[in-house]
Amino acid sequence: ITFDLDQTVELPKAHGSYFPSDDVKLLIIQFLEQYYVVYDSGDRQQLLEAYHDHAMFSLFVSKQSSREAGPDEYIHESRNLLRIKDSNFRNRLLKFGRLAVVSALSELPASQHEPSSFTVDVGFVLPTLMNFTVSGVFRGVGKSKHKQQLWTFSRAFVVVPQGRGFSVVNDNLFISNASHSQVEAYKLTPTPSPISSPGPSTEK
Amino acid sequence: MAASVIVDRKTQISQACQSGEEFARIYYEKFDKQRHLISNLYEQSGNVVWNGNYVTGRENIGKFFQNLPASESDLLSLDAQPILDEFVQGQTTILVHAAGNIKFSGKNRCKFSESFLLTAKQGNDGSVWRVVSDTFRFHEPLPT
Repeated sequence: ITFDLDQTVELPKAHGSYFPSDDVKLLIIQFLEQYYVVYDSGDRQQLLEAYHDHAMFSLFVSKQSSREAGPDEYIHESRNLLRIKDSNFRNRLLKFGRLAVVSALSELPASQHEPSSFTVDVGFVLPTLMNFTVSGVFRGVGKSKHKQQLWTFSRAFVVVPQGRGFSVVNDNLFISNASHSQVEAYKLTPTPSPISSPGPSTEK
Repeated sequence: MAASVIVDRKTQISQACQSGEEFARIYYEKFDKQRHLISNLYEQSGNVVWNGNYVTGRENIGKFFQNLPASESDLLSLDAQPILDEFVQGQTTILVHAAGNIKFSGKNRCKFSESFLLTAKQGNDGSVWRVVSDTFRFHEPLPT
């Protein structure tokens, strides 16, 4: 007679985006479509409208193994709190105010996001405030192979209502090397398709 | 007045960083080694979206996490920001965003990121941070 301890436990299956309601879904998708069209356009100045006067932005990266070429282009702005311990430096890396935020975003390397990779998870919704996280992959833009590297990202937004939409008050962006399975899945999508026509892609 | 606003903001930023670091350390330690305690960190009405699976309420969150296989997480990168008082009516709130590798038994080690909204609540011994929302994702394509 033995003990039944080695019962295998399975991970729940991963699902796509989570939206608590169709209204919220519509609002966020509209926002993201417009946002990433501009973000990838080469002129991020137009993102000014998306941010609140008192918005904050910071990014952080991780290089996950010594064999990988890490996100060097982003490392100077990386506010990884496990590494950056000086509080003045931490303050400097947190951009405050719409102008500072958009100017920091404008300094980041050119990018081309892959809309079919996006998942959006809405965490918290109040009439006065909402937070959601967008994850997926994007590619660098440039002539060299190196510049076209695939990155994975996760971006947490906190937004407040503004007019018929909302404006961003917190924006926190994580960037790292794409995982092997992401590279496999997205290596064959070099033709930049505008995010304005996302929807489930029918092509492989 | 403007100067004191800036000082307040700097204090809020430092507090968010400190609390974010402390939270992440405790969170992943509990998650890996004392999973049964993890739900204590959540607000009664807290939400989790775990790889697209939505769970609400502290008790359900506790059950959901208890049912996941054993894990070993390796936190590699972390950031935190305060949500300014003007947006949360003075209810002290911070955003914590963590990333690293996680190994669940029965699955290969993989990249993950997780973002939390924490709010300060009055507990028995002063203020405590409680998770009001938590979104977690593996950095890999969705299964087809």
